[in-house]
Amino acid sequence: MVWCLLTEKRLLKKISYIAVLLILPILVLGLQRGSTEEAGMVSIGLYTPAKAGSLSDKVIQRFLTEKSVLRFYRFEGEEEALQALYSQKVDAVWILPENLEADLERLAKRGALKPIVRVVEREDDIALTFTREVLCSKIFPEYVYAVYQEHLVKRLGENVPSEEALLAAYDRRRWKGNLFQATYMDGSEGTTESYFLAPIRGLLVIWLVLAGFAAVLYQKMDESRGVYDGIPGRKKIRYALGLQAVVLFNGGLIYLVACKILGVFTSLGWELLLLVLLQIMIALFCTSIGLLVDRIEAIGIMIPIMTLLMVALCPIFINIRRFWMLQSLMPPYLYLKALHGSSYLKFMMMYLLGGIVVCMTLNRIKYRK
Amino acid sequence: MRYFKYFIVQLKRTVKLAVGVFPTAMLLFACLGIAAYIFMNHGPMMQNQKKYQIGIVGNIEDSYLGFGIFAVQTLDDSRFMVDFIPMTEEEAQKAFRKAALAAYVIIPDEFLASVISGANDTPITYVASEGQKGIAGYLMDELAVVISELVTSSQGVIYAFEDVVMEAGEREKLYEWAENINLQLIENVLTRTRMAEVEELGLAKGLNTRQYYFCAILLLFCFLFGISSASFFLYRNADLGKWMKMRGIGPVAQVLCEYFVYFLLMLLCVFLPLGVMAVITKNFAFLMTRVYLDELFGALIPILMMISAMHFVLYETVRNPVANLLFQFLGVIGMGYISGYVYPSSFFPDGIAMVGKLLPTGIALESFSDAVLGEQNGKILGVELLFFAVFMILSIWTRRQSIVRENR
Repeated sequence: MVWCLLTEKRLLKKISYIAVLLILPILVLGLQRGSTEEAGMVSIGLYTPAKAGSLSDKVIQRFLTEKSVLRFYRFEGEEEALQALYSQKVDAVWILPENLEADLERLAKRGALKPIVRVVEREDDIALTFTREVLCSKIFPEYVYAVYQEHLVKRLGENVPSEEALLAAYDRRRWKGNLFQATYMDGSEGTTESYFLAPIRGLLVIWLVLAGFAAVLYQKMDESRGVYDGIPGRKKIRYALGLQAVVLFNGGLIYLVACKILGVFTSLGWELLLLVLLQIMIALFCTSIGLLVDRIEAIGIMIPIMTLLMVALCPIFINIRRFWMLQSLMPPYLYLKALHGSSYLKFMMMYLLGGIVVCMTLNRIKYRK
Repeated sequence: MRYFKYFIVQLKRTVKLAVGVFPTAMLLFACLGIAAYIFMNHGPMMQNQKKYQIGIVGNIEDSYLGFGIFAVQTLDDSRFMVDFIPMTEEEAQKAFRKAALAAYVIIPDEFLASVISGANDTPITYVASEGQKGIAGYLMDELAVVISELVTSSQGVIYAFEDVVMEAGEREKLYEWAENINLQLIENVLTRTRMAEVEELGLAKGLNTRQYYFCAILLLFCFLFGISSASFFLYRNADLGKWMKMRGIGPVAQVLCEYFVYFLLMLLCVFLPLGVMAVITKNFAFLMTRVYLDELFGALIPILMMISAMHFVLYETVRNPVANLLFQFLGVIGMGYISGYVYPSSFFPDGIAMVGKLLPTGIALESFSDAVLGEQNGKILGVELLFFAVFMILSIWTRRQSIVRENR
């Protein structure tokens, strides 16, 4: 314990170490603030020659104000909108007609749909096909209302109620909500953070693993300087784990603060439990590697490679589930899965037990003489 | 002459270290290649070309829902985008864990009754994410809103129509009239995308997926090379600077000599695998564009000058190995992320995208993308050289300060 405190003091004397710890929440705060700005996976340019207050204008306003993974830009001229398409500022341009209301009434009378919105794209793909669904979903309610009016006029003739009464009847019956609810496999509800903030938590976990690796490197450098010369071989592992504890404790605190800023906290108890388990897993993983590999250069070689493999195989940017055996050796994989899947907790516990056995065995083998 | 001698000493040291650094770099390159392969086959950009497989859980046989799903799969425009596969919850969970499904939806038995009654109080739940929510998960959320909008607007119209007809005292004709409006709405829902008239310009969108990831992965390798070459920097003796100064080699000469050999090492570790790759892949045929090797290598030289100078200044200023590794990882991954190395920068809000473009990672990506497309941009070259100069000045200043500290 005293040794841990001394190590902590030694680390905290380094301004660069404190700076690295503090810079993380600051960066996350910057990203979090930046995420409140408008962003989208596909950019759409909107234009209508219609006047303000017209139906086309109202539909455009809905696109601009409602939350979406698409990003909308309004243009005042058709040429300007198409120019944005040529210069790749937008992926598609939607040109709404001057009199959308009359067009919809015409279609409602015919009973069949015909093109009324001009969509100009550079090259069609699945993402743009998907955006057209979004376009139609905003115009379709206006169209079905026109169908409703048309059917009533046709059926009731002169007995049809006033426009206000029809609208009131529709408003009464129109249910505004989502028929779908996103959940995780354990039934917990999905988070609503911005899509580009979603991988940040995963990257923070990798950062924590890197802290574990850095502790191994630090311990090896100390060893080469003769800091542990007076300690019997087998007992050196206590100091290695102690150094891991100090570095991961500091990193874990910063990680928690960063997660809080990001707004990805599930519940404090659950977060703390999983974080402690993750820290022990990382400590065992990194210490085992330190026991297996003696040379600092070799550990230096492994760090970027391991880090990249973890970024690729853990559910950070993409969710690959084909290398399960390899993935379950990586502490961030089980941790990130466990966050919304309590069934993974048992795998974490198994990892811990296995990790302790492996670590102790490696220590015994290394110092058997 | 003494500067030259110092340079030769550094060169010899680097040749010795290169034995360790070079295999590291190759391993890193191979790992990045694997990561690129995985990302290109499963990443968000690939999702532009693959249909989403969605599992349907729930009793849909002998019901309107079964007919609806059949109609969507055979008549609806979304059949080009989504495949619906009926299965049990266990099968869906298993397939979802194996990544065979993008998502699965659970339709409760009471769902249809709740929609028919207009209560809409039994939502369909869908699982699109396990662990971190990916891009597909966010698209599923949007798709859910789209479907919900189509269903509830049609539902609202039908019930309002029935109310008005009843109030008008036409109860006996209601069934026939309601059936008519229902059938028309079903037909309209299935043909809804006909409202849009699509014009394709047939213009390419700058870099294609392969070119994009080729640029991003190669540059990520260059930036992460700093971590691989830790042995080049971490073994330096802190007193060496002071000692060399006493021998007449000042901080400027020290930094320039050391930097130059590091730059040569980096050049070797980047150009050699790239050259081998060019031969194996017949001049990068997989990029599906004609690549001029001289232009590609020419564009890489100023980029590597800037990146190696950045590594140099990082090792000069942050000497503690723990802090340095954490800082480099944070710097490279963080800067790379917002500069568009994983998702295109158009995915980000304007403010973040702008910052990303101005960072060394953003400048390098723009410059190298131009080279792959066979374009030239003098402004970008200027910015690269400016970054290089700033990093070098900072390195020299830090070295001078450390010598002054040692002398105290």
